[in-house]
Amino acid sequence: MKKQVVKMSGKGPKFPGGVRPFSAAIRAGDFIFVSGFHGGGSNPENGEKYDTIEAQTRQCLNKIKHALEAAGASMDDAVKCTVFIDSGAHFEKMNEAYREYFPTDPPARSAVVTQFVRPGMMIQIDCIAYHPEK
Amino acid sequence: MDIENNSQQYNKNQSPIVRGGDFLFISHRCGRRNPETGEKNTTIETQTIQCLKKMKRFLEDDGASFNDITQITILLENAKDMEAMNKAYFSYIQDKCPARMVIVTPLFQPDMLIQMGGIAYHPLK
Repeated sequence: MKKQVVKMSGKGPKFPGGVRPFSAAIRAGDFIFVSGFHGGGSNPENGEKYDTIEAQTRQCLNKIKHALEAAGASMDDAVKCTVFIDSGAHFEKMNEAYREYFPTDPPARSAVVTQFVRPGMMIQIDCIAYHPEK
Repeated sequence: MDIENNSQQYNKNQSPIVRGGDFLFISHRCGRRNPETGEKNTTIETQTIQCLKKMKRFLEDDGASFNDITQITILLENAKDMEAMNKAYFSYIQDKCPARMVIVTPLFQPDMLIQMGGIAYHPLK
């Protein structure tokens, strides 16, 4: 069994060949590896910018949820997340929003304060999930 | 867990690649030097390609291939290098596109612009 790209719909920057230089998620055996998603941008329904750490955290985790569901898994299957955040001052508020998605038995986690490639980006989260194939 | 390391030791503090079951964990490495020519790679494009070639070599040393990479984490010294890095990255990786995370962080040496590490899936028969 080789790795499989998890097919997802979505807009994003185009690169030579018309595709992004990364896959949203990859299934490898019983595990699913989800790319690091940022939480910037704006809500397509009402145009509101995701300009708070809570909104960006929720947006990251919504994308991860979408990727896991596209792979036939769910947030309950997440075993490890890595959180990259722009400031230690945002840590508590990030945690509050994060807990909404993992209210019980949360995955293992590392959290690191770092910088990002685009201004306005406050957080990026990636995820590994365990979801054995039938 | 079955852990083994078949690759040459490059650094006594870390193994370049370690197998754990069906997965191979590749340490973060830079791309400052071209081992074929001995020349220094001084641009983000050449260092990006060198990092990817290094990962390929580690995987092939362990009987896997570059196609088996499932996830790459990129550490970038300068945010302004993102676009040039992406172009070089895409030119090498083409349609293999693993999952990816990119962060900007200070690296250890002044001429180090990028580091890459990752996870590959290569089940043992």
